[in-house]
Amino acid sequence: MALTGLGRYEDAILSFSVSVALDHDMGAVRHEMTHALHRFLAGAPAGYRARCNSLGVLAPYSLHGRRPRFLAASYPALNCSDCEDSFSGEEDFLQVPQKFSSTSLGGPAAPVVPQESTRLRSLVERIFQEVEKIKRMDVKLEDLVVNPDLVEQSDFDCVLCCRTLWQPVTTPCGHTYCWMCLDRCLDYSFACPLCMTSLADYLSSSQKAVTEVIEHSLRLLLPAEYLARQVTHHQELSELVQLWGGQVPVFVCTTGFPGVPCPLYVYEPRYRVMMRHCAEAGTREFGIVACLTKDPGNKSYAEFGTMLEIRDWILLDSGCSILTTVGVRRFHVLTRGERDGYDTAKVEYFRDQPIPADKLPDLKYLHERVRPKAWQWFNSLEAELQSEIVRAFGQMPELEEDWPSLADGPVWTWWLLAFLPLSQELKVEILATTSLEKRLRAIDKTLDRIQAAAVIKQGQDVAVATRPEELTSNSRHQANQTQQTGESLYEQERQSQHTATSSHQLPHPIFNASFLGDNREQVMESS
Amino acid sequence: MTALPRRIIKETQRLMQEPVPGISAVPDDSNARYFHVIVTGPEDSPFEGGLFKLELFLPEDYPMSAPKVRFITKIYHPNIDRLGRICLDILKDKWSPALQIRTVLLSIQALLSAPNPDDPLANDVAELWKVNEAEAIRNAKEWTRRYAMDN
Repeated sequence: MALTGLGRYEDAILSFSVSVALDHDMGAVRHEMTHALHRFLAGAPAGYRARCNSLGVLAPYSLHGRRPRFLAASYPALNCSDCEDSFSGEEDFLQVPQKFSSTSLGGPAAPVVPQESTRLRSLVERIFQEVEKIKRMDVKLEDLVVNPDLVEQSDFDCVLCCRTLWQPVTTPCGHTYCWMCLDRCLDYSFACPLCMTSLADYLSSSQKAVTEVIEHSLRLLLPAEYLARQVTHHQELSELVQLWGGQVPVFVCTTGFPGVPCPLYVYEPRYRVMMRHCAEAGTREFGIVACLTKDPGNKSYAEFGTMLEIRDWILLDSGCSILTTVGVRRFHVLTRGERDGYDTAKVEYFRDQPIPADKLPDLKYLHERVRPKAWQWFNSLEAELQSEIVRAFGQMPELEEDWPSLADGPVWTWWLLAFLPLSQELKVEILATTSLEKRLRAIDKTLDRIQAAAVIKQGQDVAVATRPEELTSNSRHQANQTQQTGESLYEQERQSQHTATSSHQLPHPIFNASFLGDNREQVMESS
Repeated sequence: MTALPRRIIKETQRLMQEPVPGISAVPDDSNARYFHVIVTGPEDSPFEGGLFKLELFLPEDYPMSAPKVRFITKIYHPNIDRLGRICLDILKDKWSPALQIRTVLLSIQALLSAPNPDDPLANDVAELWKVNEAEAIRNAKEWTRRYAMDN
């Protein structure tokens, strides 16, 4: 097929014929062979083609009678029933015997096309020769042993990891790497590591497959090395799991919350590797933490984060992927590490403190007050904004019957926190608290402040308002404000999918916290 | 920290067993990703006779990203600045994971033979190299004698 790609159709036809003779399986190459034959014949000058057509009329014998015999003769291993199939290129097939037969049999038109027929004849000759060779070889195929002294172990080394090839993949430019090694390179660049040819088309055509010839040769010629490499591969996989027994891979991006979906767009090379490791290790879980500094040289991420479970994973042609994840439990970072360029951390999981029986009535009362308030606020938002929220984080979760005893309390609190207009630092702080009461109070205060800020804002607007449309209701105005912020960010995020410059979170409304005023840090009670 | 990848072990072994002429690279005792490098100034260059110390570090995601290399010995060269940082495409956007420590150091040695003042890192040096090459070469020789020959 590579030969077809290079335009060397004669060689391609030869190779196809040989492979058919060897494999006795026409199926795999049939389409490609038809294509190559087409091209080979179409390559003839137009005048010549015209002459061939006219020859067809002049031919003194029945074409249909000769065709199967001709094909059967040139492709001995080819099943005759195949020849009877109607190829899309039937017309060209019909020309083959014409050109060939008319010249070789010394037909009336022989002197008309001497040059091209020589080419064709020599091709058929070559096919015959090759097939004859195979026939002779067939008998001795069992004796065909490669001298082990001639096999260099290093010939089968991957140039990238310097180990015996594992699941070898050969690029269209003819370079072979371990499947995983090539995958990692493609995270960084579409260029073939050895010749720098772009592999973008190859990648998007999803043609990547293990090169069986090499895989087979390895097994046959270097069985010990093959086995050793297999053992190493499995060891590495289990190491990955072991490493994560104490350490979790950490995606530095935003704060995730227990029970709440967190859609992610993964494009950075290090996180692509991380996701593959997650898949290979079979854990399907990784930690997400907020990035607290924008300075790439001095990165720091939050001490508290959430484990996310991968629910769905769409791998795009570009190598980027879209993840559907949901928060499962909270963790505290104990020590920080690194692996293959991404962050890892030793973590400790934690849950809410159990609620003492005597505190329960008060807490229930607080809860009964805050939940409707939250619901009311959500409903006061613009319909478009609401649907954005629902798309990203789902509907407001139903209240669990056993909510006071849950590890992370009622999920609706986290759902609300996911889009409440709070700073990243504050969200981390709320995530870290083990008291449901504190969390509810923080939500309560935030909602109060939003209302108050909206009232003040409206008051200012009334004072300066000249146009009637500015006199909207509190919530409506505030929703407008937040929505604008949300939309502009949304736009930015959408662009980031192409330019890969912005954050990883998928489009969802992100609120501007500015209208909370300067005291917003006091939302969390200190005691 | 995870175990040292096979690739780094192999490269280090080969650097020890079949050293590149004019280049020595020895891993640090305490950090196998940090190499002490000495490159000899190429013949027929203003750096001939000099022994230039460099440091080379293989980041966690090597070979996916390029090694970090820096001249420790002061050198008068248009593509190397006063902090020893090197302007070389294969250390930046032209890096390929198929390149190795060995090929990187050979490229650096080649850069000493063929300074490229049109893609400068040390602007003053590059300027002089373009305006008055003879004087620039004199300076380079002088710096080589002063900083790269004593030890």
